[in-house]
Amino acid sequence: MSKRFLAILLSLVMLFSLVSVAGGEASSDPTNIYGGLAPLDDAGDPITFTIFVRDPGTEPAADNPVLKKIAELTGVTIKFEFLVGDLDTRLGVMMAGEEYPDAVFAGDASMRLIDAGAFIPLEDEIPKYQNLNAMYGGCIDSLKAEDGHAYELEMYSVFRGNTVVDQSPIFECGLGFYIQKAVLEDAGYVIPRTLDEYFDIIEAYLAKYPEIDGVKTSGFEILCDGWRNWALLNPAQNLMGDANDGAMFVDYQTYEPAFYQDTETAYNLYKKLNEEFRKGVISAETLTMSYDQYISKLTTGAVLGFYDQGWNFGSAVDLLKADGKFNRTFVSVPITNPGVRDGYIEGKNPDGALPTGLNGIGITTKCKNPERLLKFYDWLLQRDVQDYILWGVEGEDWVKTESGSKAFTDARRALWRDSARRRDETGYTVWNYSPAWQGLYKSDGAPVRNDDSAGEYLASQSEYDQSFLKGYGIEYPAEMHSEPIVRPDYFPVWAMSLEDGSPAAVANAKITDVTTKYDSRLVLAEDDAAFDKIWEEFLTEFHAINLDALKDEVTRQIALKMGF
Amino acid sequence: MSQTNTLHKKRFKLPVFDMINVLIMLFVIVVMLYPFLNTVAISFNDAQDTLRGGIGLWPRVFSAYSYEMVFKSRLMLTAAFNSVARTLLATVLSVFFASLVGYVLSRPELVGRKFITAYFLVTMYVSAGLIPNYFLIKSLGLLNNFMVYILPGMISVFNVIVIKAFMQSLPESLTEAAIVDGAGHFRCYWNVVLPCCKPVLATVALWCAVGAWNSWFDTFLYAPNADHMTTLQYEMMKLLSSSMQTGRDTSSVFGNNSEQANIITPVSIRSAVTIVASVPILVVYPFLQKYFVKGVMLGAVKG
Amino acid sequence: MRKASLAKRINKSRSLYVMILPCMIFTFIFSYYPLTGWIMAFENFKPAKGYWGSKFVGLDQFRFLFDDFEFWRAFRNTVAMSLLNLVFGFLFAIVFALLLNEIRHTGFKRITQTVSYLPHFLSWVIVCALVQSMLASDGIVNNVIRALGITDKPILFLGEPGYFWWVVVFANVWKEMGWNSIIYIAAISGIDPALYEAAELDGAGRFRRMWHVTLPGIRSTIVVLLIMNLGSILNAGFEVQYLLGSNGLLVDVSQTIDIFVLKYGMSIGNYSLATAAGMFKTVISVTLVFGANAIANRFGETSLM
Repeated sequence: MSKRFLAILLSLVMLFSLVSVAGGEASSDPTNIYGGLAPLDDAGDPITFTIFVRDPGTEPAADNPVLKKIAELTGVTIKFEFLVGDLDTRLGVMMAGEEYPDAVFAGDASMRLIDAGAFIPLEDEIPKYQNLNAMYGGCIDSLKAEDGHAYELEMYSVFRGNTVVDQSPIFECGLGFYIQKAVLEDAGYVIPRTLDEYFDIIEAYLAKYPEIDGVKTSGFEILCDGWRNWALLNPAQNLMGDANDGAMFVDYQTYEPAFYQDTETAYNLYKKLNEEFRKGVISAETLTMSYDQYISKLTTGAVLGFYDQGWNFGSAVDLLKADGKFNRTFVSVPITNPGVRDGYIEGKNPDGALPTGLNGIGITTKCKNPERLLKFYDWLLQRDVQDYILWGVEGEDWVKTESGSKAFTDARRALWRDSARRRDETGYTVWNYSPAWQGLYKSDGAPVRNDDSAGEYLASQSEYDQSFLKGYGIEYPAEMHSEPIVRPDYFPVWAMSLEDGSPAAVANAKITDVTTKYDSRLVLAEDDAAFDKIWEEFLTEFHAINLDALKDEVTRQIALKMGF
Repeated sequence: MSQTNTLHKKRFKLPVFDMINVLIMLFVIVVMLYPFLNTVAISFNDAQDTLRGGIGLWPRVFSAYSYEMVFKSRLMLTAAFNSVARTLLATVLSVFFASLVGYVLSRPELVGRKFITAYFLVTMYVSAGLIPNYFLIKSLGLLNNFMVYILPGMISVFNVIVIKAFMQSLPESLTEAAIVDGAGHFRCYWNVVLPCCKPVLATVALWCAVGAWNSWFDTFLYAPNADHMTTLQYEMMKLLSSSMQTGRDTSSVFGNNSEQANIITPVSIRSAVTIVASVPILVVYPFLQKYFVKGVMLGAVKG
Repeated sequence: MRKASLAKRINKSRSLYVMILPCMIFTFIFSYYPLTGWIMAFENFKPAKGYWGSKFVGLDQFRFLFDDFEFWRAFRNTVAMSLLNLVFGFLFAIVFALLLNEIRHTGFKRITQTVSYLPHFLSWVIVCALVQSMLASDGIVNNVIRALGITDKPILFLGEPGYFWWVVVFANVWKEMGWNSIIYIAAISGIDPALYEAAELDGAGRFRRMWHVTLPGIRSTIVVLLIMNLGSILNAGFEVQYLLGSNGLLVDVSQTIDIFVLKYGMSIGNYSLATAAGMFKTVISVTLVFGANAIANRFGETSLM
């Protein structure tokens, strides 16, 4: 460690000790209330908490060095029960038998557990823990369920009123109409903005290159396999300027929810897709494709466009990159109705987001020792601990950059990318299922995770990608879209929990059924007359659904969350 | 003259039938073997490469990583032990009880036979459902208890009926002698009837064994987080479902150029898991098979 | 007089009762006792509230099922696919068992039989993936059709409602033919070889021996299995239909009762709906089985009771 660095460190320590009196001597950040990576008083008294997680997964290896060290320092071991099989079944028997583990992360099924009285209220507990309070104290009222108690420690967000972190920048748009980079390059780095423009450049490229690397070029793919149905059902709301809101579109002036499935926009969308089908740009087979077939098709590099969400086809992009076909990877473009401002990117509220009630850990009534668990979470929220888990050891796993940020070493980057090694050799799994910071630390602007780091993002871009961005004169792909719109507090509709078996929940399921069925037929209609006939049938069946039940419930929840 | 004629006819006719028959069987072999060999090939192919599709009978990029993952599971030994134990125990008990009940129901002298048969038969089509069954298991103290793998399915009515039908097709003379001899019903069942039922018992044993070996749902419902209760199939299910999640994890936008990490995918893990889980049954089968192929009953009836 | 003889008869088969009574009690505990849970079908059951704490809703759950046109469409699909599976599943398994029995070379016979049931061990996910790739526009089936010149445009097998049931039946036969034939092969091995010798002396050829000796020899097995499987007619499953037929073009022919119940029951937290559907299925199954059994009795066939 250089002398100069020590000097900076010392001055930082002094600076923060002025801000936070609670900071121990070794600490460099106000969150290090337990002295950073120092042992807790009750570290000598080992305890194991079992946490049920609604995701499938694998437990970290027993000899995981980071988790071992955490257990040494705190006495706490976390044992995960990951989901195997069907979540509804597992939760059903769990609630019926009241056989709860110590804590549960149930995702959007949390409402059921709250109704069942599975969780202990936390609103009086949170203020007792400094870091938890720093995280949730500013939005504790929004954390509360309808009965007035807060049951969950929500994760994966920068919360409003927190005193530690700010939002990080957005690098990429995570969903929308994707297009192959080579197609845009060929078209002279234009940004298509309407469906017509989008398909025009795809058609031009298709005519020019009927084959790519020996594979027949495919103009546009629509995946609709089981629950992966958004490519067929969702685009209309985006064309109207909304982000991925859910089953309903919301007008930000009046906050009135409306259905987009039967609008003129939807009609025009499917009409356009039908046109492209009849031109041969879209094949009929795309609608019968399985997810595996879809991914294998994308890996050929011969697919020019599709609508999707980024995480869904990442494995195909990885393969394209592995083959060095960087120009065959994809970028999302801001397609909307003519003249409508695009809103694909969910802008982050600079004041932080409100809890959604969806991504929280609940401590159950059967928890052995809730105080210990809360204290453990409080301990984890220390910056030194977070840095240790996420970045590792300085010099070994990361180095300081000129701008004062952190950069992974190549070895660490490779390790972090290998999910099996990340799980077995770092504390990632525990971090991922515990309250945790994300974004940028207010104190010095450093990124919490590598995902928050602009440097790490740029390091992940190939030469081709960089020249592609240069072609547009932008720094990140997200700049192809308009400045993100900050979403109102109700957002999104899909995260609203509907009461089990209620008419609204039934209507929601029906909407998916009916639209899946008719939208595919619309795309494959033989001619205009057939198209209009199917559209009429669709309208009849769609309006036979108890739409008002869902609309009323969504309206009610919007009002509740917006504080009307 | 006529004799040579028929002989001639026979010699001429049979090979045609046999040839066609052999051809049909060869076709069956090809059609049935392909999916299995394809699964073997995929299980030995690099997981990421498999996403490209198009694997036939031979791996394109060889990798045993999926198997490594399967055998690396922390609880592999416990799981294998439990699976073998539950399969053996369930098979023996299930075959015993099914044949016992089958025997009783096959006796014409049983008063109320129709009613008792109906009593069993109805249970085949009646199911209380998930939660009531859970309440029952809980109240019997079978949660996290090994016997939960054995007891609930111990009397399979389907097997009872199949065995009973087979017993009814046995010649009556067989049991008459034993009953007249004054042997009790249990001895008649055990010493006379059972030995004649080997083909059907072997079939039922195979059904039970495969059923017990393949089941994971009872572990999922009644012992989801008890390490000592885990079974091979449950561990496989865990691995399989976790592979679906890693698919999501790795596909972050921060994908790093061309460096490829070892990854697992649902397709590759599912293939490896299928092979690992089905091989033991395939190894055991030939030992049962001899009971089907020979006319076992003959000896019993005549000797 | 009659009473006395009844008592006598019961007394005579006393040991049979000793053997079966424990089994009856056992069955009562595991199969009949939990049926108290059927009360859920008349409630809006919440797992945490139990049978007695949940809200009683009368026949609402049944009404939800029976009033929905989609349910009856699912009912139709279920029955259609089950019947096709029943007919073709039996046919293929029996014919295969008969033909296999005619193979003389023991080694070849054993190998064929072992290979024939391999697909049974593959999960539906794997089988469906293979079916999908075979039926793709560049898959083997379309290639063969094109090579034969039947059509020049590939057929969209998984987008055409008219083909779907047959695809399911074909997949089922492929997966289960060998497995289902095991019981017939076992039954055939129980046939007295003397019967074949007699038939051969009578000058019966291969086909006549199959028809007059082998088939009658396994007839009771066939009838018994047929009646029992008739009771499962409302269980067409959901995996293969969901995996192959969940796309919008096929939902009208692919949705089964099980899928309907999953979608509108479990997955939106309505645990009662499955119970109501289960009761409905039970009534139909039991009626069918006892009806079929009575018919078999009337025709002097072996039956279940």
